[in-house]
This record gives sequence, structure tokens and C-alpha cells, in this order.
Amino acid sequence: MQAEKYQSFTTEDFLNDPEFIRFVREGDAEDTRFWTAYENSVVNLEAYRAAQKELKFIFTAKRIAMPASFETDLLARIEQSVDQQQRKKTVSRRLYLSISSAAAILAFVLLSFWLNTANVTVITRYGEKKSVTLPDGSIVMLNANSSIKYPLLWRINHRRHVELKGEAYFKVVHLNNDPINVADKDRFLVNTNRLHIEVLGTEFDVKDRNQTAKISLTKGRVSVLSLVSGKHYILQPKQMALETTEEALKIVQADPSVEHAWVDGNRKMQKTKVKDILQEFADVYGRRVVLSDPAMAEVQIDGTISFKSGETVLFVLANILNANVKKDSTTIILQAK
Amino acid sequence: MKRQGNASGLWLSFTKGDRDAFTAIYNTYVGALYEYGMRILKDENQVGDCIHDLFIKLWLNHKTVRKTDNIRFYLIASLRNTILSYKAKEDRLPKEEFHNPDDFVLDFNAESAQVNKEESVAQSRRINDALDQLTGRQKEIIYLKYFEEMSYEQIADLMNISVKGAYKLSARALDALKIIMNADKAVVIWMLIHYKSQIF
Repeated sequence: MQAEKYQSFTTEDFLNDPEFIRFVREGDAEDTRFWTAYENSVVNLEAYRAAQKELKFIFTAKRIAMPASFETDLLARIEQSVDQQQRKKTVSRRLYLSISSAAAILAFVLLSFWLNTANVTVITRYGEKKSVTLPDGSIVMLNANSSIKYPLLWRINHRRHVELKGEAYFKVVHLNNDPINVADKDRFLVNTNRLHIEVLGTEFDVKDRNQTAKISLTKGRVSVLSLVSGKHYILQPKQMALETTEEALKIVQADPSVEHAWVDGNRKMQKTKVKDILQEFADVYGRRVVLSDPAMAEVQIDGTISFKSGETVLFVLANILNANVKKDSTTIILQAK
Repeated sequence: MKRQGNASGLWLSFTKGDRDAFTAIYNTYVGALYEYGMRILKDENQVGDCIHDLFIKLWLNHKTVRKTDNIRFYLIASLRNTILSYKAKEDRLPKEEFHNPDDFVLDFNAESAQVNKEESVAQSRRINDALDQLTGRQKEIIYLKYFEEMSYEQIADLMNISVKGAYKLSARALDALKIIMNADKAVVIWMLIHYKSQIF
């Protein structure tokens, strides 16, 4: 400590000097020696004394001591609160974890449910045809005014299952290599409103509209079950299973090229009645044709009509029936000449 | 004054979630906090509540609490804020209207101080004025400066005033004290008895 710097000190300076404050408050031996020496050489003794006196007065201020019980009680209280907070934190973290994992599981379940039940749907409008390649490589030719629906996760589920409305020609890829053991994934299922069809790998035409449900086989073998009559058959090529509103499922001989001529845009007729052709016209083009003479409906036709456009069909029919085509916004009339 | 040798180490351990360090901090500084709190609140239960809240808040925020080398100053400053919000809540005052405690207990022992023998009514009036002028804030600054050994910078920070303001406040407090100190012993004792509840 340098005594010189204190020579010019005012009372205020002394009161702000940490060394001096410490000396007055604690006054240990070393400090006392220094300040006693200083007192003897000081020129500003008055300021020094005044500061010393004031500081002494300040240090008479009563201290407030903390009771020991206060310290221990408060500590216990604090520790308890801290423990509680920590528990709350852990509980809420656990709660958060369980809620979020539950939500994740629920989302997963919903997603898998959705994926399992999600379907791909292909629809054709009137006058429109579509070729659909299924995930297994099987091909479906979809006739106009029809739809097929198949599972999105076809590959994962190994379930070849198609729902059909209207008419389609199927070329099913054969997956089974062991005829004795047929696995579920080898089967190809087609459901229509009335028919349940199971195949392994074949080509066939299915139609289910209006009064008639039918399946005609080009090659391979087909199991067909009527969901209406409960009748069940195994079809051979060139056979057709047919169910109408009047008749339960039965097998008839049928030329498959006639049944799926529509794929190439034709309609083959073998003593086919005009009313049946007009029904098909309505199915494919969505338009009803009115005949001016009801007798025309029973006229039978042989040969092939192009079904590529509605106009062509009407033109051919009008010629055969010797009639004129009259159209207004809602109806088409074949008016006998 | 107690100085924590490895104060910053203790604080660091605490910020890392060390419960023992937390308890050690409590044990080391609760006495100082109690005394300071009592001087403002004068109520042991309220002081207990405030210190409790302060330490709970500290523990909850131990990860984000700022680093400090001076735990003592940090805690006293935090306690002061805790007390101010506590009082503001109690008095239903918005916090910004309540920057400082309106009262601060600091009892000097006039009897032991040297007092001169002169007697006069004028002097007693001077003492009266001086005691009135020795506000809560002046007493607080004297306490912080001479008992907590804070620098003017720390005091300014703590009391929300400028450093210049802290010097001024301290100087005026010391002037007022000088007057009280130099007054007649009897008058001072009389003053102490009559004004104790309001002033000291």
C-alpha cells in the first residue's frame, strides 16, 4: 500500500477506498500497523478521522442473522419442490412419449389399413375402350361403359383380385408351376355382380350387365360360381357359362371369337336378333334406339357389324331394316321407310 | 466477507445439473439472501417464499442460466427481482411501476457512535430532516456498498440506475449519515424510538 496516495484524500475518497473500509471493519494486525503509521504522517488527518468515524457508525448497523431452522426448513422445501418438478418433467416426458408413440402406431395402422384396402379403379366411358396392364402383367381389355377395380398393394399382398362392372376380356398370366400345389398367389379372381371366377392363367371374356352375366373361355380352364343361383362349373375352352334373370347358370357352346369380337371393334352375329344388338348398342354407346315397328326387333341378322362407331352401327342396321335414322337431342329412331 | 474459492467451478457444476452443487450454492449464500431479503420485506415467510421461488427457477433453468463468476452478486440481484415481482403481484402493481423497494431496514447503533455534547433544537430538526432524507434506497446503497462490498457498477446494475447515479446516491446517503451521527446522543435515541418503524 502506498501511503502517498492517501495524502490528498478527502473524507469521501476515504469512504470509497476498499483498503480503508476493510481496515475499519476488520482491522487486522497488518492493516492496523499501516494505518497507525499513516495517522502519524498524515496531513489530512481531519478527513481521515471523519471518514473513520462515519464508517464506524455505518458498521454499527445491526446485522440480521438467519435462524438455523429457517435454513434447514427452506432447504427441505426447495428440495421437495425440485424433486416434484423433476417428477413432473419425467412424467410429462413419459406421457409425451407414450402419446406420440400411440399416435405413430395409430397412423401406421390407419396407413396399412388404407394401403390394404386401397384400390386402383379404371373406368371407361360410353364408346371408350381401354387396355389395362395389371401389376402381375395380366392384361385386361375393358369395353365401354365398364370399370375394374384392383388392390393397390397387389404385389405385396400377392392377391390377384379384380372386380368388374360391365365387360372385359382377360389375358391372365400363369404363375403356378406346380398344378398339385396351388398357392393363393397363383389364383386370379374376378368378381362381378353375379359371378365369382377363379383362374390360374387363361383368356376369357366376362360380361355382367342388365339381364345377362356370362363368361366365355378362349383357352385354359376357369372355375365359375354364380353368386345368385349358387351353381358352379369348370369351363373348358369354347364353352360359355351364362346366367340370365330367367335362367340359372348353365353351360352352352360358344365361339369365343364371337364373344370377344368387340375387342377388335366388331360384332359377330349368328342369327342375332335386332333387339339384342340394340341392347349392346345402348350398353356401349349409352343411347337407346327406338324402332318405329316393333316387329323389327325380332329380325335376325348374320354376319359382322363394325362397332367402331355408333354411326356405323346405325347405318348398317338402317340398311338391313330398310329404315331411316332420325335423331333428336334425346332419342334415336329407326323409322321404317 | 465469504469468498467462494471455486465459485465459477461450483456454478458450472450446477448448470450441468449437479444437485450437490445446487445445494452447496444454497448453503453458501442463503444467509446473505436472508439478510438482504429481510431488510426489504421484513417478513420471514415472505423472504422464505422468495428464496424458494428463486432457487426453483434457478433449478428449472439451470441449463440456460448465464455463466457467472460472482454467484453472490448474481443471487442477490436475482432475489431483488424476485422480491420486486412478488411485491408487485401482492400490491397489484405493474412491475415497471415498482422498480425499487420503498423501504430498507438498516438500524445503526447510535449509542456506540461518537456524538458531541452540543444540544440544540435546530440540530434536532436537522437530524429529523436527515433521517427523512435517508431513504430506503440510500440505506440500501450503503448496505450493498459496505456490507455486500459491491462496486458502484454492480450497484447501478442491481438498482437499475446509472453508475453516476449510484455515486450520487451514495454520497448523499453518507452526508445524511454524517448529520445523524454528529447529532446529540439523546436526540438520536429519541429519533430512533420515534421513527424506527418508518425510517430505520
